[in-house]
Amino acid sequence: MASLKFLVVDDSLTMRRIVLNTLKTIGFNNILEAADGKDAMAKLLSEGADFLITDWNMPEMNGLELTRWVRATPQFSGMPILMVTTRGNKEDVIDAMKVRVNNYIVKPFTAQGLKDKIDLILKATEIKAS
Amino acid sequence: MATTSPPQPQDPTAAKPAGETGLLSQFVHALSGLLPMLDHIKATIEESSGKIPKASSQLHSVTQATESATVEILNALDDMTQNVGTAERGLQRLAAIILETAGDVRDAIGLLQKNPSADPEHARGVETLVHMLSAGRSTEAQQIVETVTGVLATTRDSSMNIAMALQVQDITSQQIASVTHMIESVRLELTHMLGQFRGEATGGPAKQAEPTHFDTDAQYTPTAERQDQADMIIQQWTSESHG
Repeated sequence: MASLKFLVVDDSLTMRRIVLNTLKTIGFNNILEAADGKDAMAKLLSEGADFLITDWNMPEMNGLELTRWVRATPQFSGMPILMVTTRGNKEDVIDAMKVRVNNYIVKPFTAQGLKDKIDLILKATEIKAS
Repeated sequence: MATTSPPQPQDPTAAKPAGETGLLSQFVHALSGLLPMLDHIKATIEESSGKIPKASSQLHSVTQATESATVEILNALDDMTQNVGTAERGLQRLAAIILETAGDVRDAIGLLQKNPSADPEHARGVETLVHMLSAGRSTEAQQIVETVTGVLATTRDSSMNIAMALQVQDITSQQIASVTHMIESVRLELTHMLGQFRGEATGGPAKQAEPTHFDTDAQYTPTAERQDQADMIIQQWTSESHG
């Protein structure tokens, strides 16, 4: 599990650092960063990743558009995706589920909250894979 | 700078010539009073809209400054966490050495007691070793290690809590971006009005501000309420077999 490669996508440098530090504390050290959806697409195509953590509101390409692209791209379509966003309205959560994110975290989150969601997604994807 | 008070329209009833010529004269008279007022309004709008880019730029600087400071704090916290980790590993090794040493002393006492000597120095040496063990020095040392380990764990948790609280920077920057967007919308409206004053307007609505990439409702509420609500929606969604 510790060798999983994460891609953290957020236009806020602060948020990228917070998620990155939290992942390191949890025990994941293989982490890539991208500042928006387009940057994430380029990183995925050039370096690949096993797990995507993405913000929603970003310039160039937002998190929903990125998720749609990932799900429509055969080589990444099964990738676990965790949406981390300030948007907490019912409609927002449903919109995210419609594009098939695996789970959803509302900012501000806790380190334990992030760990729990990652564990939940990994457990669910393992079950699906087995 | 439009600092003078607006010119007042002249009283159209001041002169009342009779007939159509009189009415026309009154109308022209009234217009001549209105024009300086309109000029004044135009100057005020120009001045106000001219200040907006500076306000937007200042707000942008605030966001950049807070982001820069937050990253510095996160770097410091990262260093702290690494140092705490190093100290924790050192203490673990120290605790192991204490245990190993206590075992070695116990073995040495056993050997010395098996081979008694008439030398009084030998007897004193054995007594000292026995005292070292019976006085519970190694136990005391282990307790100190445990206490310090606990303090380090609390420090690591606190630094993690500080890091998580810094999410406020991202959330407030979205709120600032929202305000900047509103200000830009006002500027575009004012520019549109100025165009109308100058006779440049096309008659259509004012330009819209650029599309946004922030959450206008972003809020810093470090409680589980919003997450619980999201989890409930996901659960409902999943149970309805959408997933």
